[in-house]
Amino acid sequence: MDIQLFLWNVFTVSIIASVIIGVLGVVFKPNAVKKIIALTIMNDSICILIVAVGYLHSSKARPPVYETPQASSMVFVDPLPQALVVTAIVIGLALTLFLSITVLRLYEHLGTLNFHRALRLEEEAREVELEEAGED
Amino acid sequence: MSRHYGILLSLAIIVSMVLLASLVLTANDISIIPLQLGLSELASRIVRYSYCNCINSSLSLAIVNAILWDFRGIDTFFETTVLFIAVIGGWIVYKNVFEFNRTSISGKTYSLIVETITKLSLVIAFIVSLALALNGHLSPGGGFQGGVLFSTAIIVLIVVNGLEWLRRNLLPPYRALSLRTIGLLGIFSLAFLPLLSGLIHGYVGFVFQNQAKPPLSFFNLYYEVGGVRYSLIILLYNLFEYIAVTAAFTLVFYTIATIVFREEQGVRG
Repeated sequence: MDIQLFLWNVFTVSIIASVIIGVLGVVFKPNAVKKIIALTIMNDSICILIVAVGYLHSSKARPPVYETPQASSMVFVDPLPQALVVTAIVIGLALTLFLSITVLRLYEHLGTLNFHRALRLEEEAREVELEEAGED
Repeated sequence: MSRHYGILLSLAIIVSMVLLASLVLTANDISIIPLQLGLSELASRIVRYSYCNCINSSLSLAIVNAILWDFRGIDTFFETTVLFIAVIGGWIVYKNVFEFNRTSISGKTYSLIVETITKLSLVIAFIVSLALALNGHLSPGGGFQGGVLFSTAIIVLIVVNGLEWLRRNLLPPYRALSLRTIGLLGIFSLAFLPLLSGLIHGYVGFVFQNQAKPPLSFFNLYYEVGGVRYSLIILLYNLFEYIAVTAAFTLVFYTIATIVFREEQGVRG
């Protein structure tokens, strides 16, 4: 068995496992902050997966920066996935920022971070409204 | 205690499943992402184009920055716009609560030594982050990275010296908002500069064009050090991105620190 291929497979499969963990966290955790954390885990795992596509299996491969203007015979890793990931990181950051500020506002308004409890509070408020309408 | 055992158990299950799956994949000689032994044709063309001493080149030593501003300039512009919209959205939610009188967030005042050293380190952080932004086309880094570095110094300043100091002496929230807009407008107008220059001088100009494309376009903006040419327009893009990102993060820290203030004072919206 090829040990290098095995290690490479462990790397990729564990990244995919953390993507799945992120998805499960977003779906099943009722707490809003934990949902945001799971979303961040998913986002960053996908970023690492994209960077891994550009990996070059060679001992001569370097980060994609020319050290001097004259050095033209250097071997670089694929720079395109890295440039894609820079954009993805900024978009993920913007998403996290907006979500966390929204969740803070939600907490101020409802006094809870749990979505189940928030929905129950809303239902109770609607029932009270209906009762009041019936009395009129 | 049993809860911790549950976490350990699920961790062990996940790790063993990952190892088993990769064993099965390796036994069948499959890899999910193929191991590359050489660069693809596209990647080597990009690497060659991003810096060479020839006619068609991006004149940027950092290849990732060349891709960001030369090949995918419009993408990068809209990425900055997304950050802009997120920050504006967060700010709008807390628009009219910028009221603070106390000296520091936690109510404690730090000693004079800590306050002075924080202000001094702000200057150092400014120099380092500006260097990171201005060297974006020569070394790893760029406008976004420099802006984030400077804004971490600003968050230490907020914790130690308080929001009131920041607002009175350095950057009020409205000025941060206008700086943010200036940065974005700078990127926008730099993008249309080649087009305008082409219209005036009578040749073809492209949006987000970096260097001259000789048969069509002759718009050229570079500086020369020791006979070696470097792209000037990528430097300017990085500078505007730096201004925009720094102001945006300052605005975000205003918002979040204000929320912390209100929580401490027991104000419920």
